[in-house]
Amino acid sequence: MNIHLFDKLQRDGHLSPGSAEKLQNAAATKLFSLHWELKTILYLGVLLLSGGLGILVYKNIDTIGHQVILVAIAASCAGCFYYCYKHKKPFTWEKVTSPTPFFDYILLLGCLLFITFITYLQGAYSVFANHYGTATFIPLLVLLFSAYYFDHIGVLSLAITNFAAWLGVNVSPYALMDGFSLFNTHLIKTGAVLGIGLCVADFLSHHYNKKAHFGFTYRNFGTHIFLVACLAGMFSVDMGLSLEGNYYFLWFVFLAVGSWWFLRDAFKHKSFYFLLIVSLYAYVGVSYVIIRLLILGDDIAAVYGGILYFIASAIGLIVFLVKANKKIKHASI
Amino acid sequence: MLAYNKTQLDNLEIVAATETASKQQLITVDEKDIIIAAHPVKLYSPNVFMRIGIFILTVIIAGFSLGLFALMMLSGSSESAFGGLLVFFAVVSYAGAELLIKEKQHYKSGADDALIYFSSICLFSAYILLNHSGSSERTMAVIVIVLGVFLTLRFADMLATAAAFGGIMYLLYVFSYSPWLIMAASLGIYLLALNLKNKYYENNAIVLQSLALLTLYAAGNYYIVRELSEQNQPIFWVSTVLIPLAYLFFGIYRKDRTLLRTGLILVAAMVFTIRYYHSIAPLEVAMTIAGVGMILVAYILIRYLKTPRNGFTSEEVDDDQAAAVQLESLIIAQTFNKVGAPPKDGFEFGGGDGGGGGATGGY
Repeated sequence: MNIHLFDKLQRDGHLSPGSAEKLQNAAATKLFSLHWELKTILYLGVLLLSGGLGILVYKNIDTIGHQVILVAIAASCAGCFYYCYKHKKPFTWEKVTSPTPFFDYILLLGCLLFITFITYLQGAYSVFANHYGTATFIPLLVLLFSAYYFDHIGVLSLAITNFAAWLGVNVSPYALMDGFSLFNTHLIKTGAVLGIGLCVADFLSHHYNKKAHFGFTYRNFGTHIFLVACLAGMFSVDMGLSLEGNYYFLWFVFLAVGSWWFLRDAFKHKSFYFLLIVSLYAYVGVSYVIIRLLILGDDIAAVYGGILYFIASAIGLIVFLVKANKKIKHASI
Repeated sequence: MLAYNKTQLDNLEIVAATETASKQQLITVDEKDIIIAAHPVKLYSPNVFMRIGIFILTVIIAGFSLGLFALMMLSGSSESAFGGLLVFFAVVSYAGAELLIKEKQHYKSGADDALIYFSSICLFSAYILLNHSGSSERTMAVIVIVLGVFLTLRFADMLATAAAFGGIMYLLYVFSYSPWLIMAASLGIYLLALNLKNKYYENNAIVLQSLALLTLYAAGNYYIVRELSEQNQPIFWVSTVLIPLAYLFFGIYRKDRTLLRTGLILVAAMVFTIRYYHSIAPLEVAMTIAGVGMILVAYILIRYLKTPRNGFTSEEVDDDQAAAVQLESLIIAQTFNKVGAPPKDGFEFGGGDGGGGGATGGY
């Protein structure tokens, strides 16, 4: 807080002596928070520990006794969950703030250790035989349960990416940015359905008011996955990967309908974040269709047309965003 | 020197501080309303998503306009003609940025940033294109420094500050390989930035401080000195180990976040350097032990600082953390995504390019 700034405001007569004193006190007792620094150290610690243990298990799978490792991992995992169980606040369907930052990361560590445990069990003993799906599905249930029971958005995100992986799609944020790695019609369809499913999950969270604050996470993943799947569907035709002929326009229709729906939702939720990303996805889709149509012309006029289109459309989109910004004055994420 | 209207910037700062104070219930709502009414902000400074959107779209507009002109000149094309076109675009987009700021009161709206970057990239490319002989890396560095310093002073742009700093460090490095010189220069720049008390350039000063602290360490790091000078100079083990600790100490002592955070990052660099030459344990064991150690340190500190001590706390002071929690969850989803996923056939569908974000055309 800048106390000089408020001194000047007081001299200008904008502040009552009472408020000025409050401000002085607040500035004098202002604490230096190490919150985010400590959280980062914790996060890196969990990252290193779970990564290190993973490699350790992988490398020593033949040398140390399986039971020893299994017991060690199971014990630490149980320890983490026991700590969380002891320290958690009572469960409700509302938002529950975490008791300490430490709690969040111990829960995360417990979940990760559980995944390692199951993986190891499968790798060493093939407990689930050839039912690989089961080996991913059990951790998934644990993740989902922990996310709701202990109210942890990070674990919920992990559950979503693991669910997608179970379906065969990699939807980690980086993979999404990298173009989804969806180059197979089946996966594109899976992605689209998954996206819709996640949006439904968002709707249900709000509708039944069960952990409504999880809605954003569902909607965020759902919107990105669905729209990227639509774009991938449109582009895949050109990459010679689709056997279904020229269905790109069908995907464009999905994209258009989806974008319209998401935009409406964004206005309703006053979310400028969604407004922006949905506009950009729709813009890429529309531009792709325009370029395809222009290529049919196949002469220099088409090139000029394309360039002029981009200049004009970008200006148009800026105007749209500025107008939308006036409607959504106080944006939330 | 600053392009933006200083009264407006002051008002922006006052309004922001007032809203925070009002949220913390230090001042009454009436007072807040009076202050905001007395300090009107006409600046167009939209939210961060808007800024990103406008930035991307402005780059598209500027880039395709350049493409359009280049295409029209394609028939009589020569390097100098294209160079001239680049200079022309540099001038036009710079003028555009100035105009937006002066007439439309843009302030970090995405459009002004995009235009000044575009303008400087055009100018820089034009120089490379037009200067056939002897456009050495040194002169390029000089140009980067001149552009960076100008944009810093004129627009208080942080990226420009970083570029100018990089240029200066590069020149120093080229003229003398001495680590001592770079360390001394970094320290000098750090102290200058630390004592810069101009509030309009506050963020630039922080950028300079962080970068100078990093180069100060890098120049004295044993690994870097050894790789670059190909000499074994054990004296640099002292700086490798002591500098991060000194940063941490002064960061805590002076309650300086820049020092503290840089110190934390550099402790990791110190550990990596030591491990590179004196590896005691295999990687996975080191990771596991380090992980346990970090969790313990954090645990002890969080417990210890739960009740504030010496002005430090482990609790959150500013309470607006909704966005931070979402960001954190994305980082978790990204980094732990691969942990122990059971392998099976056709599990990884990587490779290939294309897909999202191809708004710049090319299809």
